Amino acid sequence: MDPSAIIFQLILGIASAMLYWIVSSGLTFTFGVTRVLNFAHGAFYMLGAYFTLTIFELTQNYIFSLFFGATLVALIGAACERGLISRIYGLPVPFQLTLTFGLVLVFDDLVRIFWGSVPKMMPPQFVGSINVLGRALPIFSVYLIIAGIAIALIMYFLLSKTDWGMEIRAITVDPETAVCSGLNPTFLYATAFMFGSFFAGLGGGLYVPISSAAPGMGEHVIIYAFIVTVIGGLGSIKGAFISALIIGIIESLGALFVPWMTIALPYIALAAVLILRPEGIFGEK
Amino acid sequence: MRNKTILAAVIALTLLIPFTGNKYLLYLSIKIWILILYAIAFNIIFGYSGLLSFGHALFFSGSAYGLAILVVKSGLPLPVGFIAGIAIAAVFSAAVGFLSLRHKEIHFAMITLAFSMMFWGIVMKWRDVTGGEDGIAGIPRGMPIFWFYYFSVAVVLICAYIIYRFVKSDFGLVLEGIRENEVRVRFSGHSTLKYRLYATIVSGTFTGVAGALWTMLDRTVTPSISHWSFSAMPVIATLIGGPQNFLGPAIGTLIYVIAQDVITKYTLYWQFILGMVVVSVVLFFRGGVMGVLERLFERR
Amino acid sequence: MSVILETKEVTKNFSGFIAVNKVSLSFERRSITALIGPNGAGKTTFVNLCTGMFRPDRGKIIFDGKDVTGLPPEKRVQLGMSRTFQIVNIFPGLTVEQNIKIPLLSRGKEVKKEINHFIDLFNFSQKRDVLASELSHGDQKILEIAMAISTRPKMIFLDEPMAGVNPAERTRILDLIRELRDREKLTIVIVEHDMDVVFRIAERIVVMNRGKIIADGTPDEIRANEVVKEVYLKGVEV
Repeated sequence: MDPSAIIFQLILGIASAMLYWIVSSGLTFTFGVTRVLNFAHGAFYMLGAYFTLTIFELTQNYIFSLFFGATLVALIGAACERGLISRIYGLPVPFQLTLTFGLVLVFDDLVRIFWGSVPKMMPPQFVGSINVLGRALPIFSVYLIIAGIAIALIMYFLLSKTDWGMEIRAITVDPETAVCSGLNPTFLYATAFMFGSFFAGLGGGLYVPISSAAPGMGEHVIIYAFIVTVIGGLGSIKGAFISALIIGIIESLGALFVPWMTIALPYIALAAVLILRPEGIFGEK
Repeated sequence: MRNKTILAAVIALTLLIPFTGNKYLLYLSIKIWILILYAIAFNIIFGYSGLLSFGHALFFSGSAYGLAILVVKSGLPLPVGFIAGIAIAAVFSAAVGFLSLRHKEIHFAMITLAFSMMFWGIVMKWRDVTGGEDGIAGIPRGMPIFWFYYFSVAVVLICAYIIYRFVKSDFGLVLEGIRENEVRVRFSGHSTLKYRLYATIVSGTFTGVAGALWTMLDRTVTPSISHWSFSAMPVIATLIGGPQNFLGPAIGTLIYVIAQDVITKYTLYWQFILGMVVVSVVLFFRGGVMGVLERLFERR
Repeated sequence: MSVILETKEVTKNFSGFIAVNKVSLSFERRSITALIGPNGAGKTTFVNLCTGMFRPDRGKIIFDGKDVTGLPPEKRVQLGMSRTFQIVNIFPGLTVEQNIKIPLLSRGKEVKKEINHFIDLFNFSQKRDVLASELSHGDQKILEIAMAISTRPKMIFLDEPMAGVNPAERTRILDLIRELRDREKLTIVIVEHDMDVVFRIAERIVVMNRGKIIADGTPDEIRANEVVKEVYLKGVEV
């Protein structure tokens, strides 16, 4: 096998990793702040896909649709947090997982009611490809990589250089002290949820031009987001980025070398990490 | 004592179902009985030990596929396949139990999910042995469906009774202690790892019994019973019925299956309704149906 | 051997913070020792090390002649150690009887008789079937002591048994502790902030500060100790 094929596959892996990263960042972020692992994060991803698609039908402007769609999802996320999620803080994990799973069921059918059960597609965006190592690399992949890195930088900036970011980090590390110091947990939890849901929606909007929007698409992605989040370390944004890269690369190289096994690779990686280092790459014990 | 009589009466009533001549009802009833066993077995480690498993589909489908492969592909007799399937579930649960000993809560859910989906991946891809996405068909039932009903009921009742004795025993009490306060159990002198492992094996093995029965009912196996969404079924059923009551999973399964069956006659959107029910149960009825009933019939 | 527990330079470091710093202590059988000191001094961490919640980074722990440094809590309990916790550690969703039964089960045979023995000993006969979560705070503390005793330990660590307890319950627990030493022949180590209780019941007082032992002696000696007064007993009437 010639090296350029491997490198090319690597680049494709990084591109899909960026999508995993964008979706997982929101999940690990909301977990870090609220300690709730939100199953419905996948449903937000699905809503982002549908919103982007529909807004594009109206405006024919992809970038606008993308951001407006993600914002709508963020608002829905905030509503869910205030109305439902805030009632399950501190409950045992099974209850949290099942409530958010219930939300998934509700959103899945809502989508069927409004958009129908048949998968919907939108015209591909950023078409064309550039020549890399003698192979055609889709421009969309380049675009995904740029988006992923940009989002990583934005997160870094928001979390370390803004007041809000500092308060978020304080309440993540030590909620009791943070509240005693006058920080408002209601506001922080709600905005954290909005923030996380925004990126779930953004992920969906980024995914829909290369595939489709369908009910139940959230279930596919949420498991990946869980895997990336757990491997990276629950609550660690850094961890999610690294582990998304690992999963993306393992999958794409796996498709090249062990295609019969690719379907199980992320789960094997998850099992391996849970056995060897359960707290994840950047998690605390 | 009154409760036991009611229960016996209900079971006696269901024994009349085959005489209705309604094949659909008969099929549905057997399905409910099998899924009740699935949920009760699942609840050994969930309601009693406090561990949330998202991978019970592994034990269910391991047994199902084991039976299917041995009987259809290797030509072994059905009873042998039945026992072998259950044995496979036992081995799987021992392996998973051993590897997940120290994991708690989310990590336990994740690791059980991981192993279960690994099996799903194998089942999807290994066409030669498992039939891939199409699965395996033509599994014999060994008897007419009329008798298969009574066979399944007998198996389920016997297994449920054994599980009942198990969770009500001293061993079961320590499991409940683990659920309530794992640290205190260790400081009471017990090795919680040992208890968790045995509980997982018992839970997984009886799940395997359910899986073997299922294969004989359906006469086919497909990857869908290995997927994590099939692991989610006993979780939801148990939460609806009430995890801390022995019959909770049974009630929850009954409600779940009937609701799904009935609701789909009126609307396509049964998931919406199920989702709302689940959300309401978590918010307002955390003890499930049995919790509500217990509060209504308080005898203090 | 008259020494039941000996720690040799045990040290515990939490990401740079040294909670317990080379502490070497020995405890005589049937003694009542109080472990006192300001918050964060390392008292509970020391107890955690002795009982097996954590492993020391350095040092050894010898219990009843055996090196238990690497043993998990359940093994130490089986060898005769027991403890209660600062924040009551019982089985809230189980009844009083079930709570006491679980530790008894780790000892095997003759469980039925023993349950009644302990329920009567601690005056829980009327409350056998009450859920532990529904007991008063003082009752829960006593229940936890009952559970810790039911394993028939040789040595018991009581971590702040008086915390959050009202005066009537306080006397009850105090009498209980004395009885435990006299009747059950136990070695007792109490971590406490209530100086009244400490000076009434302890035969020996060990004072910790910042992970180290700063004083170790009889109550009179400690009362007179200038360093201790400065660090901890300032303003406290003893």
